[in-house]
Amino acid sequence: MKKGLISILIVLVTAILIFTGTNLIAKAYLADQKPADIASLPSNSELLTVNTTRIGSDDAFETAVAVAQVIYPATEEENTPGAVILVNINNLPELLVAANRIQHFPVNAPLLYVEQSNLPQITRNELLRLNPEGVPADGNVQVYLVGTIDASVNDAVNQLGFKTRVFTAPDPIQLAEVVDNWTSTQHGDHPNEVAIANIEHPEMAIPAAYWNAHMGQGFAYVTSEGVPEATKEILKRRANGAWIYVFGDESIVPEHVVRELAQYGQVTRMPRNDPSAISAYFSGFKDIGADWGAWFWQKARDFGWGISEAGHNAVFVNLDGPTGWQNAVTATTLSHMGKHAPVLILDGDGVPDSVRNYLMVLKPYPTDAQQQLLNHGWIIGGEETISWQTQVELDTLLEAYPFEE
Amino acid sequence: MQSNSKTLQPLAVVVAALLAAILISGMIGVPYRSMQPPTKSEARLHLNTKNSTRFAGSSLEEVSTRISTAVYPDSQPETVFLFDPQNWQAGLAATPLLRPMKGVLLPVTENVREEVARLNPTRNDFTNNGVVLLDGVQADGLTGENLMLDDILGLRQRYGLAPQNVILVDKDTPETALLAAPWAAYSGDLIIFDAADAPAGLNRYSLGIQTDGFTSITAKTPDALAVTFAKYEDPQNTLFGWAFNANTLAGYRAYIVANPNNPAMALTAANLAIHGKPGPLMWSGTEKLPAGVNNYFWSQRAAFWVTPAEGPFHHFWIIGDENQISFKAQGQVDYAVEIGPYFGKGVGMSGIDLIAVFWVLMGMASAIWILLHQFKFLPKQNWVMSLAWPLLALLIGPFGLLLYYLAYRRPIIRLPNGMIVWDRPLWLQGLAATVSAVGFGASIMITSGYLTTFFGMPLIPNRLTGAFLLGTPMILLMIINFVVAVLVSWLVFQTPMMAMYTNKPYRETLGKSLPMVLISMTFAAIGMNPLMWYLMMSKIPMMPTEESILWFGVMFFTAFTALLVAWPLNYVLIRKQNKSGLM
Repeated sequence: MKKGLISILIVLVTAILIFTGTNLIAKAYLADQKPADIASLPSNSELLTVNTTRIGSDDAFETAVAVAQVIYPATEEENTPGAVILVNINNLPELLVAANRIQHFPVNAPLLYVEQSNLPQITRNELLRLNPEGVPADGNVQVYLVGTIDASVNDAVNQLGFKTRVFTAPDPIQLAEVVDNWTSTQHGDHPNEVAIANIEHPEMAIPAAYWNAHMGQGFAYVTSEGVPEATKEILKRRANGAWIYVFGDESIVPEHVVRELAQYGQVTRMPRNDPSAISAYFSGFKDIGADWGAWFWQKARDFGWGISEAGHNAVFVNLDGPTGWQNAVTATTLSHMGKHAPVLILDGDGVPDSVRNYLMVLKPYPTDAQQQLLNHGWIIGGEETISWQTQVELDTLLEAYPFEE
Repeated sequence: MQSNSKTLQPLAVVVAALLAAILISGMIGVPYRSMQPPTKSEARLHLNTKNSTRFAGSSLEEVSTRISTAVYPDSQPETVFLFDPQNWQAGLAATPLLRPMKGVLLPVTENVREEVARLNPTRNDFTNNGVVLLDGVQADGLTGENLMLDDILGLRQRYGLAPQNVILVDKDTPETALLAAPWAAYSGDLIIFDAADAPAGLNRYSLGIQTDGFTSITAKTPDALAVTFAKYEDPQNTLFGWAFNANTLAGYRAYIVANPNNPAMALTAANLAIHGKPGPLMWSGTEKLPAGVNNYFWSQRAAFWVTPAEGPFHHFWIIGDENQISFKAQGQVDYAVEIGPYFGKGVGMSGIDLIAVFWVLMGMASAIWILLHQFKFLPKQNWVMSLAWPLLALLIGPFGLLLYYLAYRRPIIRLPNGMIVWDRPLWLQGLAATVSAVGFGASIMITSGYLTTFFGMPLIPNRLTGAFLLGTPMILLMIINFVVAVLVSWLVFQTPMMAMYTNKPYRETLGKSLPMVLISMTFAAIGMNPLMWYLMMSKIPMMPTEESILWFGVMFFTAFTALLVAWPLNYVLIRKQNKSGLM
């Protein structure tokens, strides 16, 4: 009996020693530097309405950081990301690959901008604030660098104490193949749903990035000439044939390219030719049905938000602001977690008809408090990107309890 | 011969103790981490989060201006009601007028006229410039119609639908009385401070005070009262009460979270209930949420059934800067209502988490009991088995004790070589053999899995058609676990045991025991891994890591299924006399 108690004691003491040891090792993974204090953005506290929250400024580096802060308070383990994805602020096609194929679980990471050969101060500071834990399903990698980013940036990130993984390829088309290969290996599965963008019109596929940040399905590029080899590789990998979703009508992705794609699976178009109309169309789009089945198991295909009733949210971005698309893509994190919202793309100053009409479908109506359905909008960027007037207009479109006029 | 195997005993004991210690160290980490206080906010561009909006501002004026901007960003209100921040009772009594008169409630602060000018109220009946001064309040540079508390009922009856309910509150206790403000602003129900003022014909409620003739809603503390009122529904009068309770899975919730030490600021937040996202007022401390409020928020956690995009989506309004409510407390509420899978829903811990905790605790208790029992009552038990039993019991939750009882309540037999064995029927011999195989096999596999996950699972991207799975972290983990388990189990545990039983030297037994170890470990792996893959990769949406109790729950449960799978195999092996199950 005494021997028994002593052995239990020995095991417990050893356990506590090991626990202390693992804690020290776990701490060593994190950066020991603290982030510097930074000035807050007044517009993010002042330009608020009951149905909208403004996030970020007219500086795209800052907006990326502001979005990461919405989703990841990083005050405790549960609200800290697994990793951070760094992308080159001047390369939209690469960024779309990162958002489409890396952000989702199990990686669970926000997107932050770097320049090709520079880790900007604000991004560095946010890396330190987030202090990502590392992705257990990828050797505890803490920072992913995607695309044309110089080794010096990787060195700078390593020096902060973070473990990195670098994805590079000669061009974004091949980058999509490299990353698809990595993601599919991580999941042990190649999702059969694949979104397709024409690399000559990448902005048309921005809505796909928001969807895949939420859902983690496939993504590949075509050109106006045809289907590149790397993309054929991606499509061939789909064990049961692909379900292919093309972002844009014939003027965006020519018919002969779609015919070529059709050799690899069923093709469905988002038949619109401007980003706003595509975003509104795709927010309501849903394709479900057969994917793979046998007598013991079945898996349905499931692509698109299919939102067409009250009680949903939207991320509002503008491609025509001072920074163009740069301020319109890093908010994919808002689709990944929190209000799980599709993107609605504005153009110029105001709300385009396609978006307005779609919001009318989503319009909530007064109910008993217990059963209320509420909508919320994220306004991405500063007032030069989306004006206060536009924000107020969107607030009214999202309102559940308007005053009787 | 025996001494040959005996020399391995200290090593085997140390390995077994280490296996147990590593697993226990991982489980200690779970409560330890959840008890860590959240850290402070730092280096932030703003204080909004995915499920909350903060009306930051260092002064009452700044906060109230931001709230009135949010409620009336552009469209003009018809009426502005001004109250003295010291006289919150006057503002509270006026809240039923806000919606019927399309109004906004503002405290009189230094520059309030600037905000009144921006709002530019349009009403020209009752007041000719849209401004109403409550209970004789004075505001620099502003004129308006005076409204005394006695006249509010009369005015309320002139606008909108007639009120149905009246709420009696305590005029000396703002932390209970103000809880009525958002409801009155949302519904137009009247607020009174004296039971005698209740108009005839209305449903009577009292909030925070027990009153004859009134349906009284009370609780021990203001925090608890806030929760009680938020959940309150009256079956006799379904038009009264937020009814934000767990019985409804589909409704969207909004909550105003304010600090009770600033009544005027909390009252101004009642404007948020007139449109947009109406909801009740809840109290928070400066540093953290009261436990009762936090638990309530958890009980309202949004759950999805098909996809997280389906909703419901809850939202919080955080009133004031970090001197009112810290960002830590905001982080707490933000996480509490984050939409998650229905299976993960629960107060602080979900149903499957609870099952995991129960399983783990039962396992620890059984292992301790078995260890002590062995030392006291089974001194002649074979040392390998005396290690296998506690290790297995640690893994298989409530089942360890039962199996142990079945195995050792049997009569003993003395073998010619002096060994003591137990006279068991074949099916129990099969069990005992399985216990030694799975007790070591599963605990080694899980420990190896724990360490591999802790240090990060390897991922090897590759383009091998069909075989790309070999680079998948979960598959690599399974392969690593299997190899480690076979090697350790073979060299340290199973060969010495077989050597003892067959009275052969350790070295000669190695070759004979390897196929046995490979076969039984393969069966254990078949019992564990597919279920582990199913639970981790598809059943539990956010794959649990070694930091969560669910990880241990899943792994330990799969050890039990491994036992069930390997049992029939061992039965066959024993029938064919390839293995012994008497020890």
